[in-house]
Amino acid sequence: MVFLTLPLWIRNRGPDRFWKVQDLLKHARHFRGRKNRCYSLAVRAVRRAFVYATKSRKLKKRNMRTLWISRIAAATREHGMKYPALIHNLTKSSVQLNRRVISDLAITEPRTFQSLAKIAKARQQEGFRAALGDGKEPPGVLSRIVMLQ
Amino acid sequence: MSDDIQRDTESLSEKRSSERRGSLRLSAQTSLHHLLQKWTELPRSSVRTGDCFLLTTCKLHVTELQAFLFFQCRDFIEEGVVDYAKKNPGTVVYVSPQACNAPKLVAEYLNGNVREELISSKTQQQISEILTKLTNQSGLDIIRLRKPFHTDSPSIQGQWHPFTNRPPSIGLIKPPTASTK
Repeated sequence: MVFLTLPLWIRNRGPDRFWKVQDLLKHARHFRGRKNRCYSLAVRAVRRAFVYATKSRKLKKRNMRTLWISRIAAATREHGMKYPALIHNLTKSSVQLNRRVISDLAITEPRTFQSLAKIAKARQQEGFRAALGDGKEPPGVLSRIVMLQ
Repeated sequence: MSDDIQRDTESLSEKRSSERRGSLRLSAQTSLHHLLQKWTELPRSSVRTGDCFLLTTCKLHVTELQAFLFFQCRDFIEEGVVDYAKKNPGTVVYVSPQACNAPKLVAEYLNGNVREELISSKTQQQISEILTKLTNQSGLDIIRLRKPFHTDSPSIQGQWHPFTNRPPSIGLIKPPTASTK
């Protein structure tokens, strides 16, 4: 037997455990319950938190876009139009504003958004006249705009 | 005043380098003793034109094994610091020997932030690179920027509220005419 005396039985472990544990617990300090204090519970909770964070980078982009679209839809319905009509007619009039900018305008610049809605409505009416009319009426002003790809 | 300080530092650096060269021939104990003597006599060199401050602390006691690592830091203090101070007249450079565990570069910025970098096991080249990085930084916190833009006046036409696009329910209020009076 190698460990014949008591001093030989005593193990001298590594000196850094405290700091390694604190490095992990600092990411768990804002959690609820014992997982913000106890290392074994915190390891699992912190790993889940990091996995959710990586996955949600894609989800954040999707969620922001749906938020913008719902805001633009609500704003256009105040002016008597619907969201698909607004977007389609704005692109046909070559207004290349993205949904983020249009939603910000709807919030902070309501008159500008009203004018955008009017442009879209005019283009829509010209489209209806071109489709349903006899062809004797001249084409509208906004219909002359050629959409660049 | 600045010329005197520069001459002092240059003479000191010459003395220190000659001492070191001479001390290498002596035994290890006496060489360290000489070095310790020189470091305690080191005056504070400061050129006050203040854009940002730089503070360097260096360890006093050195074991023989670690001597090479700390000599790198000291080589830099002998050669690199004065050049740096001459090239950047807008920074105040302090070189102070203190009883601490590891030599550090401490950069204090005008907005109050303080950044510390360890230079204990770095070569002179790496220390000078660290210095240039610290000088080129502004003192802003290194955190994730939530948005890449900021305005103090986000709304020009007035922010939307539920009554912006609603017509008024009551008609125009006119002053009372003579008939009603």
